[in-house]
Amino acid sequence: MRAEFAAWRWGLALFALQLVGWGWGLYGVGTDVHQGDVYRIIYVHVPTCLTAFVCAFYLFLCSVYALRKKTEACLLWGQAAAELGLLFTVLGLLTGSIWGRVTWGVWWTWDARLLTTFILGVLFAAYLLLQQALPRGAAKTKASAALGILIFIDVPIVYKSVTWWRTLHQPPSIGGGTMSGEILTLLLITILSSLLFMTWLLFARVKNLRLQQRIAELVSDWH
Amino acid sequence: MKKTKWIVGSLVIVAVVVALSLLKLDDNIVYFYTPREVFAPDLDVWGKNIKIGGMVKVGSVQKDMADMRLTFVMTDFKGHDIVVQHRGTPPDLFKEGQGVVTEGYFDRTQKTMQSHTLMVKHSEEYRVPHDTEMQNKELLIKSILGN
Repeated sequence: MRAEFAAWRWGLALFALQLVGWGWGLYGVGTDVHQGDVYRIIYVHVPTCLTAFVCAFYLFLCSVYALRKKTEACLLWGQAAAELGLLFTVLGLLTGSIWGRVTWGVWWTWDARLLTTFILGVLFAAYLLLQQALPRGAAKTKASAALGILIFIDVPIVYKSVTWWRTLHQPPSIGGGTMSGEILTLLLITILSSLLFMTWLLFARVKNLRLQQRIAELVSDWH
Repeated sequence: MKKTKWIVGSLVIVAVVVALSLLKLDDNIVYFYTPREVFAPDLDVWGKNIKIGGMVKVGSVQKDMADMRLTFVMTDFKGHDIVVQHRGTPPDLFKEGQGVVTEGYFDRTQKTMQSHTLMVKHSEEYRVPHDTEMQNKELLIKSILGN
């Protein structure tokens, strides 16, 4: 099942779905009365950021599993989730920066939303460094899992940062009734397809890491 | 032994969450002040680089194109008005009635702000043109001056 989902055709199909959503966002859906056409980057920015959150959630799940079952089988899943989390956090920061330059007037400002998101990216990087630094064994599994769980604490903080503190970033739109129906519908579709595509990337990456590990084992047996 | 570890682990997480929520209540993390706050005598703002957030008063924007000078009144609609003097091009979304956060030096006696960075704070509303339920202004005011 896993190997099948990691197949190319699934990845292509899910990325095609994402492209259709973005195409609809560019040419199909109406413009925004306040921001004009620049708002259309929302269909890239918001799904990207929410996908980074879900990467943290996947990392949390496999960390809890690793601790409970005392197994290092989850380390590869953790690595893949953290890599994707870092990738989507960076993409979220970049797309947000471009959007901010046009609407706010600045590329970057240290408000609570940007700061906590930046911290999320640093935490994913720290997790990857930790895994790389430790030798295989129970200590590595435990330490990685502990950090993997702690990282998830930042997610609700990032999400609530715009309501807890005064920020330049606006409060959340989804669920607030502040979006036209067609904008909200397409946003939810692009979020869903982004999550599905990331999940495919996760499976494909784990398959890849397993092969890499197997090759390393074969090579060390040879010597 | 096993159970102790889980309990200690959970306690650490709870402690971090509690610490962070306390941090949240701490007023020291202020990204910008409101106009009312900077007029309070106990807040020392003289000579300090600070940010103030408010609304651009309708009818107050003056542009001096030759000199790239922009002057407008920032208000909280409760009598706390600040004359903002800014040099440079404003962001695209800058307009009368819009929310702004300005960074620079505030002179309480003159009620003026010498701004070197001007940022627009927009609301979380996204509406297509034929959708008429607009409430942009209330959302913005709540977001800037609400807490």
